[in-house]
Amino acid sequence: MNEKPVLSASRVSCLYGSKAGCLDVSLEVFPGEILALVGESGSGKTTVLKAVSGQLKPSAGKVTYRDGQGLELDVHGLSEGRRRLMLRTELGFVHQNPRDGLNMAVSAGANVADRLLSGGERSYGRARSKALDWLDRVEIARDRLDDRPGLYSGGMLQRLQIARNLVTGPRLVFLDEPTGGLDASVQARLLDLIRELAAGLRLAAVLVTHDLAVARLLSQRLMVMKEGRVIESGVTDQVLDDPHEPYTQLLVSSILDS
Amino acid sequence: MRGQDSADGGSGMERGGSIREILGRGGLDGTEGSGGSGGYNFAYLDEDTKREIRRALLKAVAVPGYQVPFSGREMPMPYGWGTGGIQVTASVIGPGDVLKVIDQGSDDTTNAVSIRNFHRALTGVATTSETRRATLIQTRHRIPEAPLREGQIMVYQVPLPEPMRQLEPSELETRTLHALNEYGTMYLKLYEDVARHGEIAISYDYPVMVAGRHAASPSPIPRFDNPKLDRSPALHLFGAGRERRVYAIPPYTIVKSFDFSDHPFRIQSWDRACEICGSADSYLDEIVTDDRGGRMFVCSDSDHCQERVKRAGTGESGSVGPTATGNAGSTPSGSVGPAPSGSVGRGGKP
Repeated sequence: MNEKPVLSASRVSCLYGSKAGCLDVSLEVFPGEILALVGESGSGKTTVLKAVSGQLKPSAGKVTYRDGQGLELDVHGLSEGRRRLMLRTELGFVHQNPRDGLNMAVSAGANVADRLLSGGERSYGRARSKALDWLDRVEIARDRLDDRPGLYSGGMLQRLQIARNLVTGPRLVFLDEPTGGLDASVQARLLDLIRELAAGLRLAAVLVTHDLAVARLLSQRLMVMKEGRVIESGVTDQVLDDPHEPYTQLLVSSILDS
Repeated sequence: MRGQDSADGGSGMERGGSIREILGRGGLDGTEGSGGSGGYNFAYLDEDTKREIRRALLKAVAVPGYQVPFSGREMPMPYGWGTGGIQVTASVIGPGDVLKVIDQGSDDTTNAVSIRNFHRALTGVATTSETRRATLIQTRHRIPEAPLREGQIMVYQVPLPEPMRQLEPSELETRTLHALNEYGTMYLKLYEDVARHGEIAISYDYPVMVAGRHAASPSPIPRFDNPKLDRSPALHLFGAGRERRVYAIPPYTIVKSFDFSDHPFRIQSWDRACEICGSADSYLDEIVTDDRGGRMFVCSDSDHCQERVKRAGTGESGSVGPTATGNAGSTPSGSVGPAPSGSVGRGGKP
């Protein structure tokens, strides 16, 4: 690839007291690429995600984000104001539980319009028509625009959360188990949607999942984590079809055979 | 802030002493009440407390709209009855001040009378109901209709100083939002209103941007009064007793109400005039007059209303008197959602 990475992390370690959440993790994400982090629970996937998305300051290592103008930013060296601005304009974060990423006290439309209004949109009409447009794109009926998210089903909530994140046209999205807790058919539709949106918008994404099937479907590259370290990485199909590490072999055989 | 010179250190309680001592220093113009009971300092609060509040107020004036914490004292009345406003008034009042106290626009409601008596008993200052004569006006729910002038101080009683509290329950987060000038949340509330009601339906406590920097609550005044804050020649001080915050709008500060470019801020308007004085441009209260649906619309600002009647009586100004027939069921146009509290009946508690 001759393009430069959107996000790169070098030798990131996060310590929780004397225990390590993640150790020496380096990664790069290129425009239009989805990178999956897989591993069992407690292996440090979410810690890495928090560190590279700027929400958790790592004990060691550096995270660099390249913005739309090609400027390299040290994510953890930014002022708080600048970091928050980046989080709500150029980055997106889709939580496993949509209630963590949505404002349940306001309507679905307001949830989508939120990032626009924070970004300085001062026309109600424009904010609303963009929100409506995004409901269409995530396949939520237009007449649900003014409903509270509390009235939505689990799958709709997750789609709404995706719309809320994508409305400002971010370049990089972090997905934390986006299909967790959804049934198989809803999961399949959501995966389709994420794949289409990512391809259409040339989104870069870091996907955290324990579900290897999700990783295979969405990601081009894969990193396997165990006890806070990356033990194997490479092209997704290659890693899953021909795992080298014994742990990865165990993981692949235990899940894909079922 | 003016008048009483007492910030020279030392224990105020002992030195400030009795009201008579202060009265003896002169500077009083026409006391209505006698000095209060002995044992209390001038204006109830001790001098150190007043000095602390004045320091907070100076900071508030220096950073318009910014909420400054202060160590609110227990007052001899419950929170919600104006403890914040009373502490601010007590801190800035001097023996030469002329005090006006209004509640819901009226000088005669229970709270206004009690608070006025309290201040008069403990300071001995002159009181008035005339906006023009007053140097210090403590208020709840209204800004007088008569234009304010330089040198006047308005003191507001504020129940909820944080304009974003409804959508952001965390104080830590709202302080961060203020610090970083992130006011998207304010527009979220407006968006919800327009989506639900077709217009911005906040009828009182309509949030404002002060000096282009800090979002602030104007206290529960009707949005009718918001434009009076913009570039006002008077000093506006806000005190929240329970929340222990003061903030200020200094004279001639630009105050803008939050709105959308396609849903601009509008004040309430009525399709009728006051039935007592005939004023067509003042804020009207709807008064229930009997149990058969009878009601009338009158000025909420009783001083303004009486002033107009008096002037008409002496032939100073134009026509006065009922210009509209008091038909039942008419409501202020352009006001959807909760009616301004106190639009029916007077003198109630918040």
